[in-house]
Amino acid sequence: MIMAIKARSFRDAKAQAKSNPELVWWVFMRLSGSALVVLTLFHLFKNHIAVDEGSWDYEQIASSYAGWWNKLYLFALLTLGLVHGANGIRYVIDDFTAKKPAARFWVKSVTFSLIGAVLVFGMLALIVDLPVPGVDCVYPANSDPAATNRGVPNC
Amino acid sequence: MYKGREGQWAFFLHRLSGVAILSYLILHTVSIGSTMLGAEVYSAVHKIYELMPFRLGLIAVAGAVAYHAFNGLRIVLMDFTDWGVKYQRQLWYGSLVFAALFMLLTLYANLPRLFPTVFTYTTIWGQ
Repeated sequence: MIMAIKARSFRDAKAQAKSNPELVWWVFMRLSGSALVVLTLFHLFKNHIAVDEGSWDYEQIASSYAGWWNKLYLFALLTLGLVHGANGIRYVIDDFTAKKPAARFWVKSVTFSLIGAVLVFGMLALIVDLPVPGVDCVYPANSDPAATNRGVPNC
Repeated sequence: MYKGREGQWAFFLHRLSGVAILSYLILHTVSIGSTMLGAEVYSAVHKIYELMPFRLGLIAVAGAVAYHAFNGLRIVLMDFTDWGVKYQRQLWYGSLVFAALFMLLTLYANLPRLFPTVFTYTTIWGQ
């Protein structure tokens, strides 16, 4: 059975790794984790501290998706975050189902299917171009934009 | 592994925060990604996010992310430097302090938005 590496140095990890992919995952967790520290904390600062998270409406999201750098940033966050999370939860599942191979199979099947589906959904949401209100579409002519349902435009 | 002291707590909290963040990331991707299905769908999903328990929970999520990030850096230092393991206890206290500071910053920025009648101060970002 594959178990997570519990080494405290790269040399120990290499010695403990029962397979080459397991060593690759060990390195990946540290590299993606280091990148995610910067990506995630800045994302939180930008969207949850500097501005009111609760006020994000469709219009703001559509406008922010229109920028390619923003899209690339979110794409990196989404893929690195979900893959890092999927491998992290694998370590947890392995530990909790160490003596239950049948449970391990089902828990992993459901978890990885869910994460895979969310990853595809998130990638599609970033790839598909959203109509930006005021640029690609307009508010209903006879309505006050401020009075519409949370900035829902006539898109 | 660390004789049941700070290192054990660091390990336990790292896993707990990791599972919590992954759960939130899944919800967050589905809710923000629902913009793909149209403005009406997004608005309907986002109404849940405006509920007070959810908005308070988001501050806890920020704290969990900050802890996982700073303790993750501690793990990298333990694995790739020759002094990291020796000072792992001090590094853990450091990561707790940084995580607490980040969560307090989130709290400071969001309290006037959540309870405008109680917290009337203006944040350094002017809102």
